[in-house]
Amino acid sequence: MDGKILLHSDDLLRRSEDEMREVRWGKISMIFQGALNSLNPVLSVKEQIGEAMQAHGNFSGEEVDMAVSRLFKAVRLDPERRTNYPHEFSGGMKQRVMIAMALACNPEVVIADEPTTALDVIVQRQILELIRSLRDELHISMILITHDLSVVAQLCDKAVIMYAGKVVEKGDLHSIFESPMHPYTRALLKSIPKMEDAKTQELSYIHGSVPDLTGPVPACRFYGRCPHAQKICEEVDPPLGESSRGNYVACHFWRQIAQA
Amino acid sequence: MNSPSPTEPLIAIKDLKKWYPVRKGFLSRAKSEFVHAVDGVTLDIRKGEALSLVGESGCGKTTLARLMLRLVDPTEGTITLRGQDLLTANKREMHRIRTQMQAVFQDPYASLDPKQTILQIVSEPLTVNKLDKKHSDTLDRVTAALTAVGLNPPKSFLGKFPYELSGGQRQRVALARAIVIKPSLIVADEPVSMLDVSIRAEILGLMLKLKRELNLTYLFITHDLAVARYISDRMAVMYLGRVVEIGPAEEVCSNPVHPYTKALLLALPTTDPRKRSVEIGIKGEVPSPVNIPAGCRFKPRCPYAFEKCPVEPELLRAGNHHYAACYLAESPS
Repeated sequence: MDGKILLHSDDLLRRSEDEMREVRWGKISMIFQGALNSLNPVLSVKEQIGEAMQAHGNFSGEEVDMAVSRLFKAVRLDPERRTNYPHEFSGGMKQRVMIAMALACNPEVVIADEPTTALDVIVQRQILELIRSLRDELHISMILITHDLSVVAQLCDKAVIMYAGKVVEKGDLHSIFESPMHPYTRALLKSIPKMEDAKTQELSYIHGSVPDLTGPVPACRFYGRCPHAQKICEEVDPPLGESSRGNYVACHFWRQIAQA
Repeated sequence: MNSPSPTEPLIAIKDLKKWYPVRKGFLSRAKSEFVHAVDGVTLDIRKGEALSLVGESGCGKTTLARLMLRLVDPTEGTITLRGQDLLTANKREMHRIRTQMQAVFQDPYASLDPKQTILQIVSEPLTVNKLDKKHSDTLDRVTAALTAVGLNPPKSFLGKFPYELSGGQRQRVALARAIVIKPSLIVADEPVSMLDVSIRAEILGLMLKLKRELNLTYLFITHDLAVARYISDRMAVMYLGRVVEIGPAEEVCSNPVHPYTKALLLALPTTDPRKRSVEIGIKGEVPSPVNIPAGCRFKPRCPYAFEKCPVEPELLRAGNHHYAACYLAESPS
């Protein structure tokens, strides 16, 4: 393993396991994907949120109870239901419980890993609205992990596009969606059916599949699926260079592509 | 639909209901409550059309598909395929009817037997229906099906196992298995929702191509309205076991009448960051299908509910071949 992970200029990779336990949930917490499966079915949700709190400080039962009520209000759940068990909640409500749990220790960073993937469109919309307002109210930094570009468009300020283990493009949201530079980003955006497009418009798709990372890979990992690929792409790894202020792209031919 | 249809219906569903009993206790035999999974659906699918069924989880889409394939028997109602009643058909007749209907499921990782080769998987419908008398004939049919779904060269896939294929290739195999006995109807239950975004478009394009080339009829189940609009000619929106709106796909998406359809369309995430804060207007989640609200089943969540709504509306005409189970259809605003 190589590299650095800096939290307020503190390198987390140099911290011991004990020190990391403080950071986890205390400073960085996480909202997991499968809200339906990540709660313990035999504990009430209050006990589960309390468990996370107790791991980071000494709280009396009353303090936990008050904190859980407050968290329930924050995620727009009825605080009366804090002693209920997971099966008594719907999918959307369970995801709200998961969000409350992520907020239990006042973290600075919340990592949301596909927070709405298992939810229906209307509930997804409600959860995204909740996450957005909590972020604004509590001034939390947020990392959203998703395969769904439309969720990114709904929630984020900046976006980083990854392909086969590497960042291929990053920048502010409007640049990424309005003038994507990397051939992969462009292809991804074109492959989503959109209500605004004519119904008859043919969807384009990315030929082939992601390279097997256990074997040798071409210098530019998108080589082989890229319509613009040339010899240099197989041999020279394209650096992540600034394409416009604050926007970066890793492609040898982004200028030509942007002009075409 | 009571409208004059341009072509003969391939399959006609009338007043279809499927209620599952709920056991009250662990040992009790009392079955006083029911899950109203499908609660009175009337629907025609015309030959050569793609009808999509959209709605949130638990609205009865999949139960309706299972009823059509007669994987479960309905509580009430009729299903006819080319005029023949599926529910009174005996085992032998049903066998013959099933050769006209094939299914494609959501998860291409679970729907293919990991211990079978692609040849065995794709030829299984031929074996089951005793159409595999000659081995060379079977081989020809399987190769033709693999070619049709774009698995080239087909011979190189015959001996492979599912684990050697990518998600998109597996879904192509599932499609090949569905078309190998030349069915007229394919029931596809969320066939692209487990696939990566980039592969989704590929499979949707393939399904449109197969429909054109083989003159197939699709029942396409999805929760994604943009996908439904792209793939289908007509669209039926389901809510709590009933069809609440049905019409030409483009028409339903551009002129939705039912407040539920409107909300679904507004909730649809778009890739336009400027459209992020549109209010969807409806609150809460879908009620339990055990206790269906009285009157219009959408009433408790509906922002437009008025004095007529305590009586459940039938599908009312909202436009050309466009119907909605909402009194607002009578007086379009």
